[in-house]
Amino acid sequence: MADGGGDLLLKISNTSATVADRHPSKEIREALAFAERHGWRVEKSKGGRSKNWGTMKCPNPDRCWFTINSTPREPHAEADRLKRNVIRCETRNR
Amino acid sequence: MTSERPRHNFTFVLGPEQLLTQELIESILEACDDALVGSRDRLALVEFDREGPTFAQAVVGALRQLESVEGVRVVRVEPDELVGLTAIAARLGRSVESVRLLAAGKRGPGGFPAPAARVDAKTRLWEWSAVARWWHDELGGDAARPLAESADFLASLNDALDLRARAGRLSEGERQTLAAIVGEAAIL
Repeated sequence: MADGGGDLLLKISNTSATVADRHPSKEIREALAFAERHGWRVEKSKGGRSKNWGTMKCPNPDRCWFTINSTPREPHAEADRLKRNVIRCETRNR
Repeated sequence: MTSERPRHNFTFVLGPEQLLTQELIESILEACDDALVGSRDRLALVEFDREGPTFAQAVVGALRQLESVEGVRVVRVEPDELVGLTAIAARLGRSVESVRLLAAGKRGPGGFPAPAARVDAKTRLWEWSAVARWWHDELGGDAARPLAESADFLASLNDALDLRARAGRLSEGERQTLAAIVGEAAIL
């Protein structure tokens, strides 16, 4: 755990790393980065929740948000669902 | 071929977003590790991509699993309006490769609708209503049957969920009358 903390500090000081970089799945980290590029905010949930890793919220206040599974059955499918919802929100609001 | 186990996308509406407490979200994710839980237009939603021989079987399987969570009651099912090639193939009852050729204009009458969005180099998304209209106009007839069947199923399932939600507000006599009507239809 101490190692993980050190890594994280390094990441934060070195790059523009965000909380999204802390998800265990590479595919989901990519989907969260995609969401952030589209103006979404990614927040890690507090406390010791096992399944609910965090939330991503769209830039339009109070419009949509999705929870991010910490251990989805198929990470690539979960990543697709997250990205699809970013696009869906944009096409609905343009 | 990947098209042998078609993947179906659909979203369950549970009611107002306030239903989604941290505890309920956790329970839903525990029960369904392929569910995306969230909110749009202040409605609590749970989205699935499920494999299954038919759309109906995939939807009913997910519905039962989701409603096994205490405090979850589905009020409506919505098919995805924004779909990728795989979902289009599943809904049309064609292989992914065949739909890819149709979309590229390398097969069929051409004029396949332009994608509504491009997620990345590999992933494009189409508006389902535009694709369905093109399919019907250009390739109508028997080929459209699987699609029409799942549309009928979806409309009936939503009616059934609606009926279930209203049943509590009906009198005993009214409920019996409706049960008789629905029962006759189900037997027919």
